[in-house]
Amino acid sequence: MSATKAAFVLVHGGWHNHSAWDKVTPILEANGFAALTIDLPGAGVNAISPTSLGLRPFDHAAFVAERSPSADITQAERTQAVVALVKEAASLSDSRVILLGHSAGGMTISAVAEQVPGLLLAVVYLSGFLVPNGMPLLAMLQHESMSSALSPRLFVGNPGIIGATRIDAGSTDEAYRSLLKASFYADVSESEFEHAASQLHHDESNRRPGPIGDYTGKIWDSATALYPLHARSRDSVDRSGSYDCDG
Amino acid sequence: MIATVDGTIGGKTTTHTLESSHSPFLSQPANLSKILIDICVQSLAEQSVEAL
Repeated sequence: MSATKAAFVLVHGGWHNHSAWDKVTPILEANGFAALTIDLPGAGVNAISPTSLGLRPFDHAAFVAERSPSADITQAERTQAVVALVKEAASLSDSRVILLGHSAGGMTISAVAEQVPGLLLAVVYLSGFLVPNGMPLLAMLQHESMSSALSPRLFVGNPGIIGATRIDAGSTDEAYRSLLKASFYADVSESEFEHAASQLHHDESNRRPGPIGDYTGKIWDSATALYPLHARSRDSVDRSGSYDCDG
Repeated sequence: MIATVDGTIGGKTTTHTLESSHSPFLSQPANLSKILIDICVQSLAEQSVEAL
């Protein structure tokens, strides 16, 4: 099989999964590119919901206090999963891979780029976290530059205790669902929002980067170009930079 | 913040802007894909120049 022009590896953001790219991959493929997606550890098919979600009647206090089943997932695991996908993409494209991370996925692609810079044509941060070396997700979400972001108001429970940043993705509370839509999907239709929300998982692990995925800054020294792609919301504060992320 | 990061790493970033929510892959998949393809084409061109 001949190699494609280039291959995209698309990494979803927090609480999302590979289905985020369902409208994009057909377009890229129709233009002759390969487009590979993934469910990161703890996401999509790999997600494990808190057991308290299954209790009836629903016990909100138990839900916000339960330790996350995803608490032990590390950045290193996320990094290695994407490194493997990049290598697969490279085999399809003569090592011409565009690596994209949405939102919190930006943290993973930085770590991946350090592992395999020679396989990458470019690294793209789609409203992605382009963070200082070693900063974990929880610290990023609590950073002052996120003070006007909507998504932190979605968080339930104490992330330091439950080991994850948790959202109530299946909430039927009208105000909460309105906030969820405003945070992530302000300009999509109600039906698309309902579908997208149904795909979300609840927990994002707070584990710090491990020995692999610890940002050394090597990527900055490589020839790989960086493309922050700033999705600027019309109805939320423009944080004017790569920290403009809501998840 | 992009400017700060860009200054730190020596001007290696190129910023594209899309007027959308946080999820343009849902609301503007065609526009997002066009930007991605443009990035790819530009990167391939730069790679070709470097190879000369």
